Amino acid sequence: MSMREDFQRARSEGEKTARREEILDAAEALVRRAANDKFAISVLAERVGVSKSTIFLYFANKDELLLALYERALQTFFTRFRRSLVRGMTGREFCETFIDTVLVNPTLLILRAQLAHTIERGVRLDSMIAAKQNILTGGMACAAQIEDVLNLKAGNGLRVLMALINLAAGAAQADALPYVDMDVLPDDVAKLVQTAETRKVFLSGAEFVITGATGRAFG
Amino acid sequence: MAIREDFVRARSEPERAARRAEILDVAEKVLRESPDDRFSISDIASRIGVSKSTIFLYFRNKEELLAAMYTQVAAAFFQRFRSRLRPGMTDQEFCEAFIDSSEECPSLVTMRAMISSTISGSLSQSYVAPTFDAIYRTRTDAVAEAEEVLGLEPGQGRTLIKAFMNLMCGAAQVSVMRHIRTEGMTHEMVEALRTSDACVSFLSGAELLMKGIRA
Repeated sequence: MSMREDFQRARSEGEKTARREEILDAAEALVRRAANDKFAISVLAERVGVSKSTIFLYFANKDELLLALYERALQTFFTRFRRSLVRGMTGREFCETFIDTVLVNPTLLILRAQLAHTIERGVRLDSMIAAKQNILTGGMACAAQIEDVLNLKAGNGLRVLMALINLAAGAAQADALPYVDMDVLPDDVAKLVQTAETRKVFLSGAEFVITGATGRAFG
Repeated sequence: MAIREDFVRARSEPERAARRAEILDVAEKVLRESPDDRFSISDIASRIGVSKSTIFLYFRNKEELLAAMYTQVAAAFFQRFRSRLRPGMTDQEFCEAFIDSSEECPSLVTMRAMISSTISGSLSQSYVAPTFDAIYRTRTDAVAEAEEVLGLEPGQGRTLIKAFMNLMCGAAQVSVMRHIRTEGMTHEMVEALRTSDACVSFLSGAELLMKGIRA
């Protein structure tokens, strides 16, 4: 394996951030491909073309890296979702936009499933709290916009946001349950079946959450 | 390790069922005590005092054992939930009955996550069908009772229970209160963590859901 000379020793904050992002990009590709059990810093280092110790200059351990990746995926979700919100959209349009934005970014739910159970047990307490606070800040901004577009009373934006994320994560989890023998289906068809089911189950619950928050017809 | 002579070779169906039940109980205890929700067949075998191969007389492999554990914990959960349902209970009481029952069966949330991440790929259809049939039946009974006590229209109960289950399992994924010690932390830190506590976050979403179903 040839070592990339250019990667070593970031000289400025800007360089350091750029390298962190590059490591996270490579990590994201790995996370999407393999279950976390198989996610190893050595594989990641090889992909980036650096040594393991270079990765550890940027992230103290594997769980710190995965937490950073989760936080990035969630902030990306907030940004994309906020961009597609339109004032006066119906509850149904809102929920469809929500679930489509979640499903287009599988890293989010893959890592969320490992969060409390694995990742957060391997990170320093202050890292975990810092991540929660950053997420809360991003979530609050998103919640304020939700209140605006759906015309909700203060406080209900965050409640809607949290309820919808929980519903989506729970629906995606149940979806992996083997009601259908996915082995007999071609990969792309199996994926389609799973996605369609998550979406449907999510929407059936989300309808009531939104109706409960807005008091208006779903759309 | 002393091998338990009495455990080997069940002579009748009831004996066989009793041994399966004992294995399942021990397996759940081992799972609950495991810090990372991992466990092995040898942990279970040594706890009972039998060899691994004895366990395999009752469950063909770890996946079949997991499927049976999940069926059992789901049944226990729905049973507890139904025992809390009362005609005329408020919507809030209904939501609390759901989350309280789940706190009494903590393996439900753990198992649901495990089933999807670990075993769905390796389970063959022969154990899947009975497992999910059994869960479906327990859930159907709970749904019918929920519709009755809440006075819902037919069909609404199923959507509601499904959404509750998803909400609860989604909330559990980010809940850390159970795993960390909060003494020594500032009040603000504790509050920040509490917003993501599973129970708080479940009840917040469940209340909106109930309002929506009444609308």
